[in-house]
Amino acid sequence: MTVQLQVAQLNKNFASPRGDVRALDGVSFAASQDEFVCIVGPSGCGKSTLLRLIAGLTEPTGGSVNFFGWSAAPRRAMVFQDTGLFAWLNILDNVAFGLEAQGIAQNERHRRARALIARMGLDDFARHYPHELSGGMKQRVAIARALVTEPAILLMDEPFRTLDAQTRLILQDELLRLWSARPMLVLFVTHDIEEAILLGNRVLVLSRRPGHILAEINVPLEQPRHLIGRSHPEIESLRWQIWKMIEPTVQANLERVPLR
Amino acid sequence: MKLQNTSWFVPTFFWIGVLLIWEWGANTGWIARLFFPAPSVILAAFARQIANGELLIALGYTLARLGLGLMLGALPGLLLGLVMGWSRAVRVVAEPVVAALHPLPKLALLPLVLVIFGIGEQSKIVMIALVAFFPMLINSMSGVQQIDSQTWEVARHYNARGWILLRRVILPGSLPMILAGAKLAVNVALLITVTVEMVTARQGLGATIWLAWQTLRTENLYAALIVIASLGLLTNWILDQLTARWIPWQSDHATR
Repeated sequence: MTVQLQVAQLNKNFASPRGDVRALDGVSFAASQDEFVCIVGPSGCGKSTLLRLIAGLTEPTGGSVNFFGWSAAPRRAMVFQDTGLFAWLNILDNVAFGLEAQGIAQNERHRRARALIARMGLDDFARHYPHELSGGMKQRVAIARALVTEPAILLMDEPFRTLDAQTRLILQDELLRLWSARPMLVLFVTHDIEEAILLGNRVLVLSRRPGHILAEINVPLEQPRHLIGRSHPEIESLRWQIWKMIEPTVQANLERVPLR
Repeated sequence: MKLQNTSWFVPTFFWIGVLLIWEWGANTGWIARLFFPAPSVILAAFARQIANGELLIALGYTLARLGLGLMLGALPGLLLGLVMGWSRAVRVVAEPVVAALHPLPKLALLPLVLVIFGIGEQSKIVMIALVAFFPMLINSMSGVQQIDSQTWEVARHYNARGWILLRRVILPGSLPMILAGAKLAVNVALLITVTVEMVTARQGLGATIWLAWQTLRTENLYAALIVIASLGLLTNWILDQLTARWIPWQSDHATR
């Protein structure tokens, strides 16, 4: 029996003073329990909303999110866009926060948090505060905070958006290695087509708002992938193909900018 | 290096010079001694009243009233503020009352408070508590409200509730504003303590000043002022230390 996340005809409206805005319009897809799925689309297409719906942070206007084959609703953990780390907690307590909220005793939660902090290469920073860390380190902490709760589904909302190209490449590679060491369903939202192709087994292309799925693309790269020091000529045509789907919206967005 | 030296050198010598001119002017009668007794006379009065305990007893009364008033005013203000910031329902009910009472100059209530609570200690404590209550309430309320939506979302995502939500998110998230509110509350409470003591008390620093004025012992008035000013400096220093210790993620920015 396959264990799957099934998203069926998902709609989401937001109330606004000028009437309802439809963010998502009939999004359907399925993803099995050990897949790495990237969701790519132009900005403002409802990618984040889709993640928040799957996380249970907001309710759909219509349609459903089903967890097929799981005995109970699987644990989902989100890596937020701007890390969402608490400025007032040190790295150890930030990472252990999810466990603390579950009521796990301090010894146990610190032990588990330290193990993940070590795996992220941040041993020396457990007692530091987020503002003392670089952007890449903060993002590692954010990933550790999500992973420490041992989620079955990891939701990532443009986690590497603010990082420079080199740091981003390193973190992308680390993420793939974490995922191959401990398979789980990863839903990774990005607006970067190349990132989506390099990381995902599958790429879902979302349209402009109201967002719906334009295409599902299987990425022919083999796993495990090593991103550093490689070029990937075989993905060029894929990249072009996705860009052609998104381009009209990006153009339209650009033309809209001066009017705001 | 040179700049660092002059940064304390110049003001120190300037103010020593001012004191010397004041001393000389008062001694020669060039400055009215009744209003501005010579610094040496003030210092002597200060030393005498410290030695015979008068100033320390007055300080004790003032501190006791201040402390009790803060406990009965600032603490409930903090708690109600946190609850109002947290719960929209409580805020909707309580905010109009707060908005109506907060801008009212609390000293205008003194006669009413005297009628209700009498001329004894109770009315003084009530006045101090009243003025300490509002800045604490308003700051802790906006402290909770300015916690950003992503922080709330993270807390909700991990199902943080009750004590953990309060201790890990709400309290530390609003702490910078709470401490700013505490500073406001302490300063305005000190102001009102001295004022109320002038009007209705026989002991305390305010009463000392009032008595010195009535008997035209201006040097005693200045001596009491020295104590009050030191008290203000000390409470502010303590609160700044607490801020640096409890908000490392902000004070680090400030010192860098």
